[in-house]
Amino acid sequence: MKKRYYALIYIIIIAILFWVFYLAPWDQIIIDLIIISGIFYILRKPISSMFSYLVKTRFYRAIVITAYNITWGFFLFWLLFELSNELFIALISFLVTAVSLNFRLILNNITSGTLLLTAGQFEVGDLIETNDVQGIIQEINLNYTKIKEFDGVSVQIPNSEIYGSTVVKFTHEKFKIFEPLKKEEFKKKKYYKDYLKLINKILSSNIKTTIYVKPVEILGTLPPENLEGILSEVFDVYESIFGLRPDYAVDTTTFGRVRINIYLKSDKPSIILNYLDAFLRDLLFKLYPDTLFEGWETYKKKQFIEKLTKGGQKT
Amino acid sequence: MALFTSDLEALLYILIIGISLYFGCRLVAYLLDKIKRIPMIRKNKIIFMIRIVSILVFFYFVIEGFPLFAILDPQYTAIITSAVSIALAFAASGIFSNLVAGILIWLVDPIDIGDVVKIKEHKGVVKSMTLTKVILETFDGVIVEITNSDVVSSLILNYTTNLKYRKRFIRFKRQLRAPQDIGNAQIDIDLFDEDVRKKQEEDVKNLYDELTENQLNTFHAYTFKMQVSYNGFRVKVDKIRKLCEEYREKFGYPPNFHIFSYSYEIFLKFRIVCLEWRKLFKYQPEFAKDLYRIILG
Repeated sequence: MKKRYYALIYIIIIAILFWVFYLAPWDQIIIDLIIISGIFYILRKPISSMFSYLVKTRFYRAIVITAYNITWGFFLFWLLFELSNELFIALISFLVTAVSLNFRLILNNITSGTLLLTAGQFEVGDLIETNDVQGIIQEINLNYTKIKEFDGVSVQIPNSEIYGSTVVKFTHEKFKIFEPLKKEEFKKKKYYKDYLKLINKILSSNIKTTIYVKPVEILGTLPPENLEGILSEVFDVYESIFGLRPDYAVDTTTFGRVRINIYLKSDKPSIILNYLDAFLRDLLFKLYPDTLFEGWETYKKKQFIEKLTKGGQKT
Repeated sequence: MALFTSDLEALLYILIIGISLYFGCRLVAYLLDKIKRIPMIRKNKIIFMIRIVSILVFFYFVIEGFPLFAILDPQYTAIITSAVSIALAFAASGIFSNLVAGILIWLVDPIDIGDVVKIKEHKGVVKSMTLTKVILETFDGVIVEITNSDVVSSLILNYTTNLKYRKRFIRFKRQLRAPQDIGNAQIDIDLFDEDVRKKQEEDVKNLYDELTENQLNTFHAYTFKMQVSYNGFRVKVDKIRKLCEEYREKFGYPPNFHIFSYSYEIFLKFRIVCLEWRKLFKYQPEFAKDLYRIILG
């Protein structure tokens, strides 16, 4: 709004306040409350501007302005209550119903978040796919679940969206099955330390493992009999990085290409996140070295000659 | 005490008042239309305000005019008031949904002013956040206003990293590096040597210096995809690498790229790191255009 309009509004309000103070035939409490509310309105804009200038942090600014508005609102409601009890009750019931109807949005997300955390569906650090987003869970808060995508970008998905949709869990618990102890062995474990060790072993047996499925399509130019050998070479290299040997399975053939699912396995999802693209690069260069390096030697020679010519010109 | 003596009289008068108000509004609108000096926006505001006032005046006469309402038992008055309030609340609840969502956004703080984000297919920088709306300026310079309830119920991609109090170099470096940088997924790995590594370290250091010098708390890491054909891929990669080097000055940090999938073509993802969103908005389309020339040229 333009400054002149503000000035005009302020003049009108001050005139009304003067009239109320000196001439109004109402009760003293109503007069006082009208004057207080008017002063609050007049000072609202200058105080807001002053805080915006002094305090740079948005959070603190918001706290001060909200506190100011709440105080002003309190006086307004008090005035309304003094003017008419019925109107006050009607307004309160209207506001309570209208606002509470919208709290279902927040409650939905908070409940979904609580269920996600308590039901053990997944936890922070797991690699999942939901709502077409793949990544590692960084945080589950009141409203959102924060996921770090493969390219490092963080995505925030409402908890209710996750709870109400399909979740692909690449990270899950690997159950270790223990052989039951024989009667003689059980009898041997006389001391409490042995029992503690056994309990500890059972409790720590749920080791999490991540199996990430990456579908890729291989061109028909590659002879099928060569695929196994090439993949094997790359798998050998990455077995030491991931800790577990990658694997693959043929999914389908389409438009002269074959789609394969590569299974990358690791105990730590972050390792898969970090090394997936390096793995894909190495595999790609192994699959089609001739096609990818087409014209590379000529290009390099050309670049070298250009470099020499530039150097010669300089000297 | 009612304004009129009988209900019939009240009905007649209220009908006359209603019709007068309706035609009065029409007359004001007609007169305003004839006055050329008043701008269109102001005319619209005046007409809107007059209509609101007319409706309120009409309802005042309806409530205060009928003697029937004055002699009504206070209990019935309370019931009717509550019922009307609740009905109105149900009808107007949509208005409050943005307000409640605005408070939630303020509490949870998923985005901040100046963040480069993608919300509901709109990519842009957050220019303003009010109690009802989030205002974005897109790469095309278009202003998009997204309601807070839409923001709360949709996916938010945030390309901006807030460093907050983590201004130490090591921590900055850790936050700056993408998973692909840690896994050394650069495509031209055959040319990677100690000199390249040192150069990369220097780039990070320069960016950190610029950040501390300008007392900034955030950096933007924007990503986008491109597809490249298999034939002569290595030559194209080399050309793209040189282009990235050319953009080092413009963005303040060289863009990077890596393979993230392949089928009939190779899918590349580009990552541009920039301290100022204005630079990102200015040079990203230019960079994409140059990439297009290399990939399909």
